[in-house]
Amino acid sequence: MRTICLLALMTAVCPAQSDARPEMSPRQLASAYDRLWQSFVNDFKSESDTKARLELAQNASEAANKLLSEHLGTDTIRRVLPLMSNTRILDLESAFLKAAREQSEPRVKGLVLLHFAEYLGNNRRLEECEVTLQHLQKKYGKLKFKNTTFTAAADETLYHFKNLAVGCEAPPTTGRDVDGQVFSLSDYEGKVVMLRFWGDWCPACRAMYPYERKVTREYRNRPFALIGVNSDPEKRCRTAQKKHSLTWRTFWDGGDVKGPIAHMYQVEDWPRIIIIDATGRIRMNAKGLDEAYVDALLARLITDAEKQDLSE
Amino acid sequence: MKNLHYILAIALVSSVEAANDKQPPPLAKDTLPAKLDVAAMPLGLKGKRSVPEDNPLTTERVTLGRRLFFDPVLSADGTVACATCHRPDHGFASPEPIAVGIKGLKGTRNAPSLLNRALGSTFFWDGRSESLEEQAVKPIVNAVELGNTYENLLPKLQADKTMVAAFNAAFAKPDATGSNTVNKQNIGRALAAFQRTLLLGNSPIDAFQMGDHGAMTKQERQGFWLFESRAGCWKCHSGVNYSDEQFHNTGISFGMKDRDTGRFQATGDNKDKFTFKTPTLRGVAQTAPYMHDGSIQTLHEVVEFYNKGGAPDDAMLDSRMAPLGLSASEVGSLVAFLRALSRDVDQPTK
Repeated sequence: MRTICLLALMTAVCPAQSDARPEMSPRQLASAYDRLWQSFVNDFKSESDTKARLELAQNASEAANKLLSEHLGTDTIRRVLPLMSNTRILDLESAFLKAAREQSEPRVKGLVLLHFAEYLGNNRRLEECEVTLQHLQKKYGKLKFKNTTFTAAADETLYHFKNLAVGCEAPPTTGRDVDGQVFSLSDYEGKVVMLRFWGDWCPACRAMYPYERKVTREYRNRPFALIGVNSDPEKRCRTAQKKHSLTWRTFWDGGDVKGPIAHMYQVEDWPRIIIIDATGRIRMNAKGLDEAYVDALLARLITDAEKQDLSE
Repeated sequence: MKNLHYILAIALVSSVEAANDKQPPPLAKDTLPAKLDVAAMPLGLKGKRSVPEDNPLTTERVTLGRRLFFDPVLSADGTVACATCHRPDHGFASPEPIAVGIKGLKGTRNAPSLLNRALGSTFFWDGRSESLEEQAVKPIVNAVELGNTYENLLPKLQADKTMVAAFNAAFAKPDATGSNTVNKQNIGRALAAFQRTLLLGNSPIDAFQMGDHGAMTKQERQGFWLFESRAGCWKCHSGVNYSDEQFHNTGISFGMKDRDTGRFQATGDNKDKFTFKTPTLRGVAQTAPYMHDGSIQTLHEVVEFYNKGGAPDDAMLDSRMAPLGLSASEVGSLVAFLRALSRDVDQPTK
């Protein structure tokens, strides 16, 4: 049944005479890929049998590789690479390698390798990720990428997957709060921590205040702590805490967005939310707030934390 | 087994009798508000009180429980009431390190506070009772507390018309078989119902957690941050009532001869030796002295005790215990926080 769904999807995106290779706009390809991915995720979640899941993944991988090999071109690649690098479980190796081979522009080749490395990192294939990044640095390292070079971008990517990705132990984090007291993230071991990079200057951060007040109340006196990392001038941080009832502890990170803690966590977009479990491992590292997802994750992690034996 | 308890009790009585031929402490007055609001739940405790199905919290039961609580008729010689050791002006605890009961007899442990027992799940320092109803009937017959027997007590209560009326109002009237409402089980129920109204919340921390940033001073706030992080207090003093209702050996009275074995006495399990129930911290500033043996006089000294890791040489120490490395000012902040846990923001401070 699911295979038929996938096939139906395939026929929908590449009509009967596939030899004709109808041109797809970047947007069309991106949405076709996204549909394929979402459909796989839904099927995968509703299936619990390991063997059946494996089959689902194989079929979806084949479908994805076929779609990409037929439509991934110079026009579409920039749009689709980020989707590919965020794909979990599916085997996209051949699609990435084919793209790297077929693209002629060195900067695009570099871009493909960088996204391939991210894909490997996201799938916890750290050694291959590192080898790919080394290869990228060797071949295209000096080429410009965004405001910097591929060498710098590769270093940052590797740092991310070694220190900040889901599954990593949160890096040792020490700073001071707005009362001037020094404290560390490790002081909260045994508790689930929601580390929240914020500033009152940032409208998206302010929009999160109600949610933060909600979780603080909901999980008070349970093994949970919301801890901010603030990027405002000290006075503004204090005023915001009082004015908006922000009754949780916050690191004051030096008064701007380039503070040492934000730097260590590679925070470029604000707000950023990192959820750390009771053993100190990162369980979420996301730019925005998906309330339903965070609610479910926190509830699960906090319940787990309550079951753990604190005497160990 | 019962006989063994009896012999132990006799032995205990005779061993302390010689040292205590004093009078019992004076009776405590009922200084509570004339009308108790049975349904009231202070901020911070909302929805957490558990009331058993077979003992609904009615005004009649609470009123009867209150009367019994302060009435020395419950003791063998009419000199001691529950309130003698659980003093309303002392956070329902006793200022004596070790509780003193009938005929000035000394017990073995500090009388614990009764505040927020409605949120508890185990009772007595060693948790030997699993409900307030079960707990409340025991001190009446404890030889060093009220020293009474139900054979002696029930006829006395039954002879008092107003008492019988209060029991009848609180519980179903006598049925056709003529069974009496004045019985041991209903005494336990009434005392339990009354105790379920002894609540303390609405403290600065509750107002703070609900969003009033100004509810705590900077020092109290710092104390709270330490409490829930580096000082590790939260690992046992958890939940809205600041107790996990579990049993731990913090090292109190380590190295002393005849050390109280605590929960071991209730379970006979070796791993429970020297463990005692985590008490609530709400109201703690009112209930000195501290610990199950009343051996520590001030909150400051209590925090210092934990700061040095309790009794680090005690091999059976709870492994949550470790030296904390708190500075003098951090100790001060924790004490300030504990005081903030002990007052109601809407009540004038004493």
